[in-house]
Amino acid sequence: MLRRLILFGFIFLFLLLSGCATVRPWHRESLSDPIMIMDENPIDSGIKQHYLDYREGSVGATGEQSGGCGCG
Amino acid sequence: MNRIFGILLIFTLAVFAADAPQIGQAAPLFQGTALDGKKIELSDFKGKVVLIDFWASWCGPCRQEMPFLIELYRRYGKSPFEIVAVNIDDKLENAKRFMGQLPEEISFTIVQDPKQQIPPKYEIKGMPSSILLDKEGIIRFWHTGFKESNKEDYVSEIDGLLKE
Repeated sequence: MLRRLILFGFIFLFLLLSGCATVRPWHRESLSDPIMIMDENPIDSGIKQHYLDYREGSVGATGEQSGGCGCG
Repeated sequence: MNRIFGILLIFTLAVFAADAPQIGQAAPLFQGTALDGKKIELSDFKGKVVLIDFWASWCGPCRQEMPFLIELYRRYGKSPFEIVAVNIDDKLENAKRFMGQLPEEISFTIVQDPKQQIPPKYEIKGMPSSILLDKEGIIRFWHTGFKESNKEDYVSEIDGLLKE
């Protein structure tokens, strides 16, 4: 019984994991749109974040949208 | 029971395994349509050093890279050197709008790939991706992303390949 439960659990987990997909670099056109930023004024925030990154000489860990290219 | 786990594991690994071409291997061949409607095949450029560049107008670093590609082509265009820039914009108008904003017209080959069928052949890791092939069509150098500080690397790599 326990073995069967583990097997079903494993299959269930496998089905859930199969729903995870990696967005390939060439499929990021929509994601790179500023409208994808969860902010009420995404373009303004993007510009502020951009000059903050340059002024502070650091990038990352701030949810910056970058170019959406997986290269940054 | 163990057999079932084994099968599931193999299936999972098979799903995630990617067969990206490596440096030293022959570049995967592709064909496409240039902006002027002409059919292009990668094999057409055999005997030349080729820079394959994957780019899109929605990608910031690609936009930064394009003036440099124009500069490279101006410098090496008379040598056996060709740039094949594969554009993967869903809408070609976006690419054309961006190209219209450039200070110079692009004179190298732009291949349209709105359905993004060519990038999976190379399994590129980011945009832009620039792949340098030698005259035999072998992948020799691979750049992912674009940085101003890497410009000299491109020049020395192309110089080296042209001398071979």
